Amino acid sequence: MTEPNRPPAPGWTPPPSTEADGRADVLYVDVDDQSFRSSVERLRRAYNLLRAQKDRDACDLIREHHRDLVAVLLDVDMPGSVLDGILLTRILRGRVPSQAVPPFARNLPALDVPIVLVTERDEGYSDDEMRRYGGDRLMRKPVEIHKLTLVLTEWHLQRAQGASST
Amino acid sequence: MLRGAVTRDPSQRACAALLTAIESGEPADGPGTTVELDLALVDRWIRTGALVEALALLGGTPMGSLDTGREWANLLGELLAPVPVDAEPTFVEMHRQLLSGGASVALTLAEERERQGAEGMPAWASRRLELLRWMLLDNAAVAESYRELPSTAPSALSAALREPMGRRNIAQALEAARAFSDERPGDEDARRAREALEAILEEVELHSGAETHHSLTIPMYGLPAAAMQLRMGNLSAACAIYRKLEGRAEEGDATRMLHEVEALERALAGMPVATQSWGDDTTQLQLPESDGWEDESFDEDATLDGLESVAPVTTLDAPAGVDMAPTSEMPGAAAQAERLVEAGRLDEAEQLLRSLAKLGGGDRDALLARADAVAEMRAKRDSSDVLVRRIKPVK
Repeated sequence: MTEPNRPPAPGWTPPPSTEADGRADVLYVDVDDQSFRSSVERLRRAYNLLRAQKDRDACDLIREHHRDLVAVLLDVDMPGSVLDGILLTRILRGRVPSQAVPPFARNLPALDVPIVLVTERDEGYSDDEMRRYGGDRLMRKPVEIHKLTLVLTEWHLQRAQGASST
Repeated sequence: MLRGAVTRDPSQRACAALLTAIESGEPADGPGTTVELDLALVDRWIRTGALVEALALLGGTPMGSLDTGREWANLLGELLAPVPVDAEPTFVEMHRQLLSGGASVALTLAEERERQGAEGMPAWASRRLELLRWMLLDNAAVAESYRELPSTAPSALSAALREPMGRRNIAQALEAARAFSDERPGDEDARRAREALEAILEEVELHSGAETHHSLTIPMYGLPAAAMQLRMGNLSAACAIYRKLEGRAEEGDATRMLHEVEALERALAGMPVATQSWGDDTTQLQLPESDGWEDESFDEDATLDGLESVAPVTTLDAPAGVDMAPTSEMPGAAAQAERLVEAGRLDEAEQLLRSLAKLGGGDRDALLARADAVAEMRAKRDSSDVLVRRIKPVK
């Protein structure tokens, strides 16, 4: 396969992800430090990752930053948490009766952004299953920037086309 | 990919039908020819602003996991990523345009913003502008050239023209043709090549907008787009545009220019030039490669929706000693909207005018009034299209 002859892409060293430089905020919920670091490295050019290690932290961050978030990434298993990624997704989408929701996760603000479940395992849920639970996609860790953007792009286009057809 | 295609061009009915079928769980039997999914295709899509489709193609095939493919996928992933929730309206609009196929409009907006004060641009926005320029504006560095034309019988005339054309310098190519023709008064091929180059240079100068003083990146359509391709030495790309414009009353020069450019192509390929006249069979010339989509918009000859659009161009200060003439100098974004109107791209013109009004780019009331007028023009055109389509024979 002959590759097109493009000049080298312009290089850029983005500021550390801890600096608030205005990149779009993404909530990343995962207890695994290595996984988080790998994803930050891949996503930092366009996304500012707000990290929560457990379900309680995630709920706190959602309350604090829900207006700024453009996506939520949840570990499917969330070891050490009461909720796993699937259940938290269903809660965030309002699909769990309030009496079945742990107190710390009640009355969360509505989140109208894509929810991506992330996992290290090969086996798992299909995209159809994800959608049934209210998620938008299942991704392998570490999350690649083009894959996340593709999900968000599809989400935006789907919304736009839905709005224009109604 | 289908969502991107339909968003970018609602007239892609085959894509819309296929998308509907997939969404409803039906077998996805797409129409059309088989297209090789390779980086060259991705590259072409990027150049024409089909960024979402390019990203989807990379993300959905093994190309996206290999060296260059992965780099492009990540760069597209960065460029198309959502802007921060509290980003300036300009950047929000830029992102919306990028997702809806308006890469050149996005570039225009971002460059306008940069001109207003680059120091106020957030780092991520400057970076995306840089990426957008890289993706859309590097055509001249890698553009197709005469070297790719079939050269079955190189001639002395071909040899004389290749050097200046290789440097994409039409003026010097014309000088070479004149000198060649003067030395050989009886050489009809040389005379015809000279005439072709004179016509091409005149066309390039006609569309170069030299009357303006401000440098600005603009999207271009129709004859100006073809002229821009000529300026960059992209003869086959210019021909592709002229072919699509042929037969449109408002693009009357397209046929004439197509023959001029084809004459030059023949001269460069060492083929007879003078014996060719308008209306000759040109099938032996190399046609541009398919861009991977069914070009159904051009079946609708009653509409203007299918006008060729190409990547925008930027005027750059040419480094001393480097033969790199600016590709275009054009007035501001409002004037660009008028050019879109002239090119029949009323949807985009209206969109650009409303965006400018929203962003405070000039006299808001005047921009909105003009946008309303364009919307009215579009409504009239669309209603007339319906009539035309009704009587158009089914192909």
